[in-house]
Amino acid sequence: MLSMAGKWQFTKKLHPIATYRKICIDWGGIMDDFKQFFQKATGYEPFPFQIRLATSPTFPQIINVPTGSGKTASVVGAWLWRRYYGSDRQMPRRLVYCLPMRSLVEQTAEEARRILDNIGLLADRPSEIDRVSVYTLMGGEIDEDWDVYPEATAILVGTQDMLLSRALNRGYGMSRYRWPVDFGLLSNDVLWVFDEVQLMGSGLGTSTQLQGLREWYKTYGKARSIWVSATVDVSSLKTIDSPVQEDSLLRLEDSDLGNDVLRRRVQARKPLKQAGTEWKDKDLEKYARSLVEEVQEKHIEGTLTLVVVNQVARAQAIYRLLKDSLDDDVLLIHSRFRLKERKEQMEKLLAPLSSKGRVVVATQAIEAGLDISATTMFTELAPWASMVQRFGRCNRYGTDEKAQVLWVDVSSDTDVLPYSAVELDLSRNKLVKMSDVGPSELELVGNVNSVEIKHVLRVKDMLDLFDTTPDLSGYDLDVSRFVREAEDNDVQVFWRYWEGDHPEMLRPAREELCSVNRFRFSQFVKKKKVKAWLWDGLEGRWSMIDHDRVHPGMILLMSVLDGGYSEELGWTGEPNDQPEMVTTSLQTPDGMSFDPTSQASKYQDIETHTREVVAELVQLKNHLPDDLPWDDLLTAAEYHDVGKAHPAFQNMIAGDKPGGPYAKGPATSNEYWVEEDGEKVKRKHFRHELVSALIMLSQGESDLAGYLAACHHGKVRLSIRSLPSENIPRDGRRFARGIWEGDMVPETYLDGYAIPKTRLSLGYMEMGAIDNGSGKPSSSWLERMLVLRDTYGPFRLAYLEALIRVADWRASRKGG
Amino acid sequence: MAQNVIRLHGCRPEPIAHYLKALGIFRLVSQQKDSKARAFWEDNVFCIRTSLDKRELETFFLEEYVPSGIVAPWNGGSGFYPKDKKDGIDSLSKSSATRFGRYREVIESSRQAISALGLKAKPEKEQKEDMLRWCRNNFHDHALAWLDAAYLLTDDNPIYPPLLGTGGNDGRLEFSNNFMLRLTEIFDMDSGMAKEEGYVWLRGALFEQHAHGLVKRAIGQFYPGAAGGANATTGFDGDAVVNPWDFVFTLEGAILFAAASSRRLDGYRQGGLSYPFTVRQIGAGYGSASTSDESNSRAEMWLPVWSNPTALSELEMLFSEGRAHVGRKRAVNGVDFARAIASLGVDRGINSFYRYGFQVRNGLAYFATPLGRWDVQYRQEVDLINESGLSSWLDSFRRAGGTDRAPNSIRRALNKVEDCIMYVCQYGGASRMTDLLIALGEAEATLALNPRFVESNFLKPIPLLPKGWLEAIDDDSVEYRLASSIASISFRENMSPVSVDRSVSWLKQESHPRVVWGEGSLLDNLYRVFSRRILDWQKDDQKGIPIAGSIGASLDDVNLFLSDQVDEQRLSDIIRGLSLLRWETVKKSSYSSGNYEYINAGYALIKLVHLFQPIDNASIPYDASISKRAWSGNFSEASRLASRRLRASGFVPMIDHIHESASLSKRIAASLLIPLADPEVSKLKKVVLQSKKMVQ
Repeated sequence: MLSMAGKWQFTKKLHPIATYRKICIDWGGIMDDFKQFFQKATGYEPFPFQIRLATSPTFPQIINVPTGSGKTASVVGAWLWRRYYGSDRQMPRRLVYCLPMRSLVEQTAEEARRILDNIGLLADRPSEIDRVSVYTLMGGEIDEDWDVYPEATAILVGTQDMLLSRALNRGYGMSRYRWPVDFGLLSNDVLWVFDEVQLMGSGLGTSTQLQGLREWYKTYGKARSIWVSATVDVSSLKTIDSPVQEDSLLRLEDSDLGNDVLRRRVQARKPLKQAGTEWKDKDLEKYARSLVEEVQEKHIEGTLTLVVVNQVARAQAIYRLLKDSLDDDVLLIHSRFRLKERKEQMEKLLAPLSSKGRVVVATQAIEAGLDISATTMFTELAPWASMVQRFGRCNRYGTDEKAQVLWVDVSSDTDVLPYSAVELDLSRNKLVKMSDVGPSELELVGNVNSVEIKHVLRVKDMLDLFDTTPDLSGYDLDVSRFVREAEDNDVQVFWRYWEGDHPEMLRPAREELCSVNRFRFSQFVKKKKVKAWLWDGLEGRWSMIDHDRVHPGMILLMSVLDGGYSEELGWTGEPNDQPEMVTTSLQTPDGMSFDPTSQASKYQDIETHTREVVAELVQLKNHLPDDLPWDDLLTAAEYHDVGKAHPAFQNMIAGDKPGGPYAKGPATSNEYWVEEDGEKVKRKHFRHELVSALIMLSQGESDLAGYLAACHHGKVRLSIRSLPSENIPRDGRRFARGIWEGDMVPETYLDGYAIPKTRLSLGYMEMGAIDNGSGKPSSSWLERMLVLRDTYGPFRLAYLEALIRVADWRASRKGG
Repeated sequence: MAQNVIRLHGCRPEPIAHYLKALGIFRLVSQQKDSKARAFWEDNVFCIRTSLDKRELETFFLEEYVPSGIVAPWNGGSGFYPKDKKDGIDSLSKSSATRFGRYREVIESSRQAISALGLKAKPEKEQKEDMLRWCRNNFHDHALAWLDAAYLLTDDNPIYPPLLGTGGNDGRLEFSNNFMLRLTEIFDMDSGMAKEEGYVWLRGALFEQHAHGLVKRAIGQFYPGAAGGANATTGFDGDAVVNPWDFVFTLEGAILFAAASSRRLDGYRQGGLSYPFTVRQIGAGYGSASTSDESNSRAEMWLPVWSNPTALSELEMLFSEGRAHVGRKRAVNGVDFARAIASLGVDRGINSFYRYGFQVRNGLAYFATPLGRWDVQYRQEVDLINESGLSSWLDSFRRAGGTDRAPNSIRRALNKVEDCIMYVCQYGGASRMTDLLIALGEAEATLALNPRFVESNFLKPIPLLPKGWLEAIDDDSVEYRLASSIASISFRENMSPVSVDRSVSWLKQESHPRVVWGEGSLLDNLYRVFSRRILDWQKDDQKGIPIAGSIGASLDDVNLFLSDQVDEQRLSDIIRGLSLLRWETVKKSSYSSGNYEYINAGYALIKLVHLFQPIDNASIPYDASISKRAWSGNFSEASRLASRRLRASGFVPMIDHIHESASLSKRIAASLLIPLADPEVSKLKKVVLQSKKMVQ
């Protein structure tokens, strides 16, 4: 093969994409090109299946390759290749890599960045739109700004919680008013990759349904999904609207096994023996001592030993003894830790080994695809699917000659929780016949499992979710049943310190929360006579809760002084274990009437701001496909802030400052008000964008343009409703969002032309068709918006919303 | 295209079956024939604006209408299990008519479910839950609305909107199986065309034209008038007489109540019911209301009536959300719903609501009883009820008082308060507000008598009410005027064991010597308060004025009181109610007399020595024996002492003493508590004092 080294001299400066693409096209032999590209990008030669993924005429829906065969590189490489250099120019702009656990997110994002950096395509900052940015989205750590550049090619790596909630228009951990933006961008022009799907639970069904619904409703730019797993039964991907074809599958073929590296992984040896220790009699102390002796005996210096047990208490006991008797690196990993401590453990887990090596004691929390490979593994007997996952953490690369797996029997007549004796019996029957649990051996006994999907997202649900009108009571719609399997029996606990009898504090940050089994928690409260506090949404304060009222899913506050948690061991339920408080920064919540983007240090009039927003939109148009309704978008951009000419807004922003009308400025008052009969009348909850939309309808602009203007803060969307604490006009006129029937908006100039003085009619807020003064009945706002929703479909409509809002944000940043 | 307005005289807001029928007819027309159709109510008749004319509408139902796939394989008796009646389901399964194609699909899906779950008989408990979930996950989209109307899957267990019984099963009536049977009565299963009588019945259902040969069948809860039972009909078996189309349309209409996700995923967390326009029943606000209705009933529904021609898409949204808010809180019971209506917490464009209770009155079957019509009208006075302090107190009162564990007296008090709220919401007006305020005052008195209940339920006293109440209950009666004057002294602490500061809290002590208002007549109570306040004033080194009120009464009203022309019970009740106000925020004001010149000289004499402030710069020391003598009926002695007292302060009374009857004497003593406006005091002086002060 010709050495390409000379030609692949990429530097960030010299090779914007166009040049790069040109160079590639000049070469013949697309497979060789890809090999060169892949080598450059990853440092490895591609496996045959990786070449197929990047260059075959069709792109598969399912990837079924063993763990440890470079899935991230396969997918990222194939996507980049197809999008930039290959023949598949329809490859979507955004790659969304969805993982069931946060521990996998950083690992994957890091790898994606490395790949991009190697080929000089890694963007330095989000605004560098001719290169590729990599963002991570996981609880507590959300990269801002990923949604500000919809025209850029980008990779998003995130947890199932963060990504699927956004794909359902109910993004976790973000302002509700921004939901539609993320929803729009994650539904259009996007390639979703679902990795480790065996761990996704109900989220798996949501992923297949969403893909089906996107195809049904259509999207701007393609929306595609691929599911990656070695151990999932394809039938689990067949929900009612799922577009998955079982034969659209990429798997290892003979040619792959001809590859040394891959063959080593697939044929890795993992000799299996039964350990001498057995869990029976419920004598924790004896069990732990015996197992620890055995671990010490088998642990090989300089290597990793992994001990996986089924219960947190056992893991803690073993860890304590090991910590006392070994001065080696010992780690404890289970799910009853706060996020803060979990993060710290992950860092230690992935750090290089010392000469003594490391022993990790873990529960099933470690089963997911962490890229660690133990030389020695002890594992308690578990259901077969779990065992298969656990075996994957031993000798992953097939290069460890000393690898060994020891399974610890769990007697069926003892405490088998969280599993059942039947599951364990089935598993034991398989194990006793095996002497090796390498991938090829496992395949012989069957390693495929189906995922139970409890709640399937239906079309009807998606349409409901499109509406984000907040429930006034402050409860957000709970989509967790579609995001993942609810931790059936857990409560979330956090610890704070406060003075006085009554805790007065804000809600917890994710870093502080620790999952605890409901029953154990309630016993803790009862037996140790400690206090637990629950947020009372109606009263707006924390109130004490009795132990017998603790239900799964509750978020409960404890005093640090009441203990129950140790930073080292996690949840213990011992009052003497008193954790440090986690200090976090708290976000200021966004409210229904909050208008931060209008606040600026200097005044800018509506006409100027409008011109800037239109310019930003044109910029987007230059990079995005032509089949979008650009005319409506541009109309919306022109009118979007015309409502700010309403006296209520001008009084707030500018008082009696001459000039204007102003769109932005250092507000002179924190209240919206108008003058009526010489009196100052407050217009609480005033929304200028609703005024804009009402003016547009009276000007005969399209419903779509009207909607796009109305929704540009995410606060006025499908319905127009008044809020409870609004000022009510005494004469019985209609009112909504600080606007009263008959309000006059003065003539306003927009980019050179005038919008005439307009009398506002709120007849649109009534259900059904009514006469708004034009002499003939006109449909309500809601009816019009429902027609739009059904015409464009929720995905495309949200995408258009996102574009108009992005243009406004960007212009505001520049202007403000 | 020409638009016709078809008035469906067979569709009215009552009974509920006819309301649902209206929705069913419109839903089908809109979804299957004329997507631009609009519907509205006019003079209590349901109207459809459509391109169809009457004949085309009939033809549509007879020839084209595709029935919704209403099945309930989770129910015994649904036609899917060995013991079930199978006539309907078998005919539908065998039929090859296109219009039943969807039905056959759904029946087929149900059978798949049964086989996937390995069921041999109707599923129980967890199996039933699995079945419900299987259907929701795998049924065709066109059958989902039915499922969402029939049940909701929560994280704990399935719950069932009362409109469709328990998942489409109402005691012994299985809706889905009956629906299929009705279809076989209307249609010829082979051809799919309507039978002869199907046409006659249709005209009856749509236009209330007389229908011959109605079929004796159960219709369940939707139509209590038509449902059988002892004494219900003249027939010997008591079976209901039903038009099969009515049953079909009723179920087709109930489907519109398919709960939206916002409802399904959320409502139950808020302590309410997760179904649209459905709240917990409160035994209040209708003629025969009683608290016993609460334990026996499950829920009530409030069904909207609107007059703007409205498209189906919008109605689907309306009915799937069923929005009703009191302030920020979702309405959870009937009283809340009434408050939501009167404070614009419902969607704009709804003219009125029909309220229905679902009550057990006939064995297992739940009956939808009409409980009256409520017009949507903003009532400013309801803002006083919705104001946050009182609103959350009402919630806690209901939580504690609405259970079986609450003492009867408390349940009655709660019921009375809620009844009054309902009437205020429905009709508004000062006298209704007065009733409510009185009920609140009584409620606090009742709570005070049940300290252990109050403590164990963490019930607080009623929070201080805003001064807006004063205006809201002003019916310009003498009772109102006198009560506001007397209550303006702000003596709640003499009425209830509370301490009033910036907020109100219960007194913790066992005994409450300060609380003197109690059993006995109004006169007793007024005099007790008077004496007690003076006692406290004396203990407190005679600081301030013990009986100062911010609203001075007029002598005209005092005269009415003295001459026993006032409804004392009502006066007493209003005083108690008004004692709840935050009086410190009420501006000083007074009532003035008309031209009425008569003033009781005895009253004048005695009142002048109980003003607790100087007259013409001369202070008049307090003499306890004067009021005591008056109260004991010895007026001559009381008046003599008063004259002496005035003289000692340098005045020249025109009278030395006056004789009055013992009863008037008591009355005058009691009236001392009534604060007088300053101009009225001057009039008193004129009556009994020489014009000039005696020179010392």
